[in-house]
Amino acid sequence: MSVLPDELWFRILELGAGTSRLDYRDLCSLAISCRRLSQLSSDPALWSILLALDFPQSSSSPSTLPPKSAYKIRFERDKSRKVLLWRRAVLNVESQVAVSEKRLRDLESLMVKEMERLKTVGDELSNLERARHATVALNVWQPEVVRSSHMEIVGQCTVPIESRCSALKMEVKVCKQQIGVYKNALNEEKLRLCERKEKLTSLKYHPLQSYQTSNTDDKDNVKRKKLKQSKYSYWK
Amino acid sequence: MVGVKKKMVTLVSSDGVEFVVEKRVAEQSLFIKNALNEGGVEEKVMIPIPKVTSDTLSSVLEYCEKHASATEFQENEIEEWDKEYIEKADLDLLYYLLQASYSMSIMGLMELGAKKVASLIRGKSPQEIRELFNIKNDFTPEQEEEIRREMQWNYE
Repeated sequence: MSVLPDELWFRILELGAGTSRLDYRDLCSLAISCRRLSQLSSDPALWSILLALDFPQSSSSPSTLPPKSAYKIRFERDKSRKVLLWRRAVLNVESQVAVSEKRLRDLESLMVKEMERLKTVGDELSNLERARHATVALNVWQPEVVRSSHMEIVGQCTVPIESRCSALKMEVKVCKQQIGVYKNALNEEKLRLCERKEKLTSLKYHPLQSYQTSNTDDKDNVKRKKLKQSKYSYWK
Repeated sequence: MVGVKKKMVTLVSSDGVEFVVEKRVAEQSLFIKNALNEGGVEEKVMIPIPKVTSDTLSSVLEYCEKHASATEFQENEIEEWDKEYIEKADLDLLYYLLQASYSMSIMGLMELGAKKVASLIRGKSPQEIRELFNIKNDFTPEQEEEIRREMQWNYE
């Protein structure tokens, strides 16, 4: 294959570049493979084609530079832009991770508080239950010792037992419900955190690929944030 | 292309095999078309095709026959046919087809082959390109180092 005449090789490269079969990278790979292809692949005509294809907006201002150098400069400029975009994407996801982590901590402390509340309510409820039993017991005959201790329990209880009892039961229900909600939220937030951490590692792993995805990701993130706010605002 | 009796041409490959084809098929090659015009001979023309073996020539003529009657087909039919035709050519045949289309001036076939070769190059590393085309790396280590450094702007 290498013995094909130069014209044919050039035609291959020209057609390849013109039909986007060959890009700057392929031309550079060709250039490294051997001297002849190095010379052929450096032809200004090829780089003019690539320049026009990859940076169409620059074709309006013809430069005095040889097309290959012009392409290189455009490419570098584009590269630094890509790197900036990538950094922004990384920062964005990093801050999202931080938000998720804070949210998790908040939820955990809320959960602990709610558990404590449940415990105090539960204690009070069991006290009340005892008092209620005592009042019921007072209605029947009992030995004097037992009766006096029951009287004492009932005497200590200053609130109307029945209504307080049902109020407390309500509260227990509410507490349990709230804990359930927190648990769900915790799980969701954990999933979200995992997702974001994964994204962060993948972003950091493919620094150049991130350029294409970062734009769509940004939109995604905004959406997700909005979703999050609307979904969970009733807690605040 | 007139409706009169079909004019035939005999092509002789480099290894001496004769191919008798219609003139309109042979004329897909500008080289043959010019030869016919220059010769001005009407009957029983024999045209030697140097540097093209019978194997290659039969494949080339397959292409010419299809494209000589291209008007009978839809555009995309021809495209499909071209795609299949070049797809089944191995690297050796591809090389000979390119050589033949170049020497016989069959522009369509040359472009078809060139695009196929470009597709083969796509995405390959320098070493893979050398292996594919059996290219010897004729750079000295220092030169290769230098050209690699020069090219590194697009390698991350």
